[in-house]
Amino acid sequence: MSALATVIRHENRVLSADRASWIGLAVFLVIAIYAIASGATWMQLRQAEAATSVQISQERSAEFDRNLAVIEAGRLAELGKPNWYKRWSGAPTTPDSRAVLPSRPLLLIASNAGELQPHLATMRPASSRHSLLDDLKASTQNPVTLAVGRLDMVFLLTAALPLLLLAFSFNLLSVEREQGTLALVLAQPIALATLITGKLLTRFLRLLLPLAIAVPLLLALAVDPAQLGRAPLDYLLLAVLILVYGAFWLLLAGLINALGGSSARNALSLGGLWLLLVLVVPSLLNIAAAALHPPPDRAGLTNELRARLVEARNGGDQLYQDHALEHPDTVVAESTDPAEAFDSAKATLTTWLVRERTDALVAPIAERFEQDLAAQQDLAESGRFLSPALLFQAALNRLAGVDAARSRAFSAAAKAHLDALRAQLIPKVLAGQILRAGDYGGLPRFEMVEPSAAGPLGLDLLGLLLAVLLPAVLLMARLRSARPVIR
Amino acid sequence: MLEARGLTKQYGSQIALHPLDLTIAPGEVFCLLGANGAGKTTTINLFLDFIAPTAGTALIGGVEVASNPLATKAQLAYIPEQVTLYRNLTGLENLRFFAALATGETLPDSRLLEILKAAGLPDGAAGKRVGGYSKGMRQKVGIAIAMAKNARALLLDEPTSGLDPKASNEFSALLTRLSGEGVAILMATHDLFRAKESGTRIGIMREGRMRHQVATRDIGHADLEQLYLEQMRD
Ligand SMILES: Nc1ncnc2c1ncn2[C@@H]1O[C@H](COP(=O)(O)OP(=O)(O)OP(=O)(O)O)[C@@H](O)[C@H]1O
Ligand SMILES: [Mg+2]
Repeated sequence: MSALATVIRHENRVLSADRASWIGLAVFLVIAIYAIASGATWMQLRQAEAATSVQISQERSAEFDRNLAVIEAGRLAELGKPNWYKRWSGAPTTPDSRAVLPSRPLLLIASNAGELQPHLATMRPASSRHSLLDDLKASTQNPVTLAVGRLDMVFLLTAALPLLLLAFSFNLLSVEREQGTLALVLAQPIALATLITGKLLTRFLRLLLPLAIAVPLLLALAVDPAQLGRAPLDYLLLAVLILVYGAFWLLLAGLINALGGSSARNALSLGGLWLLLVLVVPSLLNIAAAALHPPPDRAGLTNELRARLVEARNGGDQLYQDHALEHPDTVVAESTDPAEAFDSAKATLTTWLVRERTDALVAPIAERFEQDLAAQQDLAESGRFLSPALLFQAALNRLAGVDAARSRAFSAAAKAHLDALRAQLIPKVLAGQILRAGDYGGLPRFEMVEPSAAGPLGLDLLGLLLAVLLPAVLLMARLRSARPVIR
Repeated sequence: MLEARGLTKQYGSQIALHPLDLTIAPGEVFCLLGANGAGKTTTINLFLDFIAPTAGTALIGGVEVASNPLATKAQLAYIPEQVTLYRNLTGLENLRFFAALATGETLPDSRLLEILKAAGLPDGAAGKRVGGYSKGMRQKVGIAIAMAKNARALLLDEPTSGLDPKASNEFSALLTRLSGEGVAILMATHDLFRAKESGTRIGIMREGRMRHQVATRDIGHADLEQLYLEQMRD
C-alpha cells in the first residue's frame, strides 16, 4: 500500500475518534437545516406574493374586459356600477401590469440579499418611468454586507463552513508534534508532503465532499426534488463552489501547519486569516464603496420624488391647456356622448401629462441615483477579487439569482415592458380614444430578459481557483525548502 | 552500515556536534555515552534527517542521508526515548499503521500480534487503547514497530529508560539477537551496565566531541565506570 493510502486510512481512524470535531459538524448541520428550511419558507412566501399580485392583476383585467363588452352592448345598468365607471374602465391609462422576477431554483440560499432585491413591480401606461424606483428602491442597500439580517445559507457557507473545516484541520500537523507521534512517523520513509497531502485529502474526502453533496441535495429536497432534474447545473455548480472554497481553507490550514508553529499559534493565525478574509476585507470594501460612491439617500430621494409629483400635479390644468394650444388637432374626441367623451379624454390626457411632467422633473434625480448605485455595485463587483469569501459569496448570490446584474436587468426589463405598454396605449390617450372589449387581451406581457451569468460566474470560479492555487503553491514551496520541525 | 564523515551540527555559535567520524559495521552495537547535552540525540537526529548537518555527511549503507532521506529511512528503525503513540488507537492499530508506513506493505494481523508478543507486550494488551498503556508497554510497541520493519540499521535514543529490569534485560537479549542477524545498532544511553552488556563498542561524548572509544570486550564493568568519570572530569 502506498504511503499516501496508509496515511488516509489512518487519518480516517484518528478523525473518527475526534469527538469534538464531529459535535461541531452536527451543530453545523443542524444550523444548516434550519437555514435551509427558513430559506425555503421565505422563498415560498416571496413566490406566493408575486403570484397573488399577478393573479389580482389578471382577474382585474379580465373583469374590465368583460364589463367593457357589457357597456358596449349598452347595458351599463346591469353592472350596478356608477356612471363614471364607463369612462374609467375604458380609459387607456387604467390597465395595469405586473413585472415579476422569476426565482432561480437556489433562491432560498440567499434570503438576506434576496430580501433587498426588487422582484415585483406594478405599472400602468401613465406610470412614471421613475415611479419604478419606488418598487426598485430596495436595491439601494450595498450588496457587499455579509453579516446582516437572518441566517441564510450564503452566510453559513461563506462564514461558518471555513470555521468548521478549520476546526478539523487547524492542528493537523502540530497536534502530532505536540503528542510526540510526529518523530516516529517521520522516522519512516514518508515525505512530509505526503503526510500533509494525506491529511488534507482525508478531510476533503471525509468532510468536505459529503457536505458539498449533502447541501445541494438538502436544498433541492426543501423545495422540490424534481428541481435537481430541471436545473442540474445550478446544483452541480453549487457543489463545485463549495468544494473549491472549502479546499482553499483546508490548504490554508495545511500551509499554516507546515510553518511549524504550535497548535495554539496555528489556531490564532488561522482565526486571524478567517477574520481578515471573511469580515475585515468585506467591511473595508463596504467602507471604501461608501466613501468613493456615497450611498444615495433613500429618505431624501423619496421626498424629492413626492415633491416633484405634487409640483407636476398642481400644474395639471396648466399642462393640459399648454398641450391643447400646441396640439389643437388631437384633443377633440369623437363620441356619441360628447360631454362624457371629452371629459374622459381630458381627464386621461391630464393624468398622462402630469406623469410625463413628473418624469421630466425626476429624470435627473433618478439618473444620479441609478448611477451612484451602479458605481457602488461595480466597485463591489470588482472588489470581490480581494477575498475568496467575497468571490464565493458573489458566486452564490449569482446562483441564487439575487446579484446586482440580475436586479439591474429586471429593472431594465420592467422599464422596457412599461415602454411597450405605452407604445400601445398612449396613442389612444393622445387621440382621445377609449379601450374596447378585447383590448385587454392584446396588451403586452412582461418578460424577464435574463442576463447571462455564465461570464461573471466563470470569473468567480476562476478567482476562487486562483485563490486555491496561492496556498497550494506556497505549501509546496514550503515543503520543498524546509525540513519539518519535529519537536 | 552507519557512517559519519566529518558530521557537524552547529546552532548559531553553539556547536552541538564537532566533526564526527564514525563507522558502525553490520552486527556492531555502538553505545553512545555522555552527560546531558553531550550531543547524543543530535547525532541520532542527523542520521534520521530530522536536522540538517552544518557540515559533513551521514550515510546509511553508503547512501547519503540528507540528499536521500526516504531511501535511508527505509533502511532504518528508530526507537525514541519516549515512544508516543496514538492514544485513541489500540497497540495493534498503532503497529498496523507504523508497520504499513515503514514497509509499504499490509501485514496480516496474525503477524502483527506475533511481533507484539515477541516485543514483550503482555497478552491481551494489543487490543486495548494505548491511552491506558504504561510507559514500558508503549516502549514495547516501539520495539515491535522497529522489529516489523526488518531494518538493516537501528537507532536507539535511551530506549530502556522506563523499562523494568526484566524488560530491560529482554531488550538487551533482543539487541544481541539483532546484531547477530547483522543489524548495525547505534544506541544512546546513560546506562553504563547495559552499554557494557549489549554493546560491542562504546563511545564517550562530551560537549559535542567524541572523547574516547573502546571495545567492550577489552574492558570490565568497573573500568568502564572509571573511564567514563575520567572523561567527565575537567
Ligand atoms: N534546536 C536546538 N537549538 C539550539 N541548541 C540545541 C538544539 N537542539 C540541541 N541543542 C543543543 O545541542 C547540544 C546537544 O544536545 P543533545 O540533545 O544532542 O544532547 P544529548 O546528549 O542527547 O543530551 P541528553 O542526555 O540530555 O539527552 C545541547 O547543548 C543542546 O542545548
Ligand atoms: Mg538526548
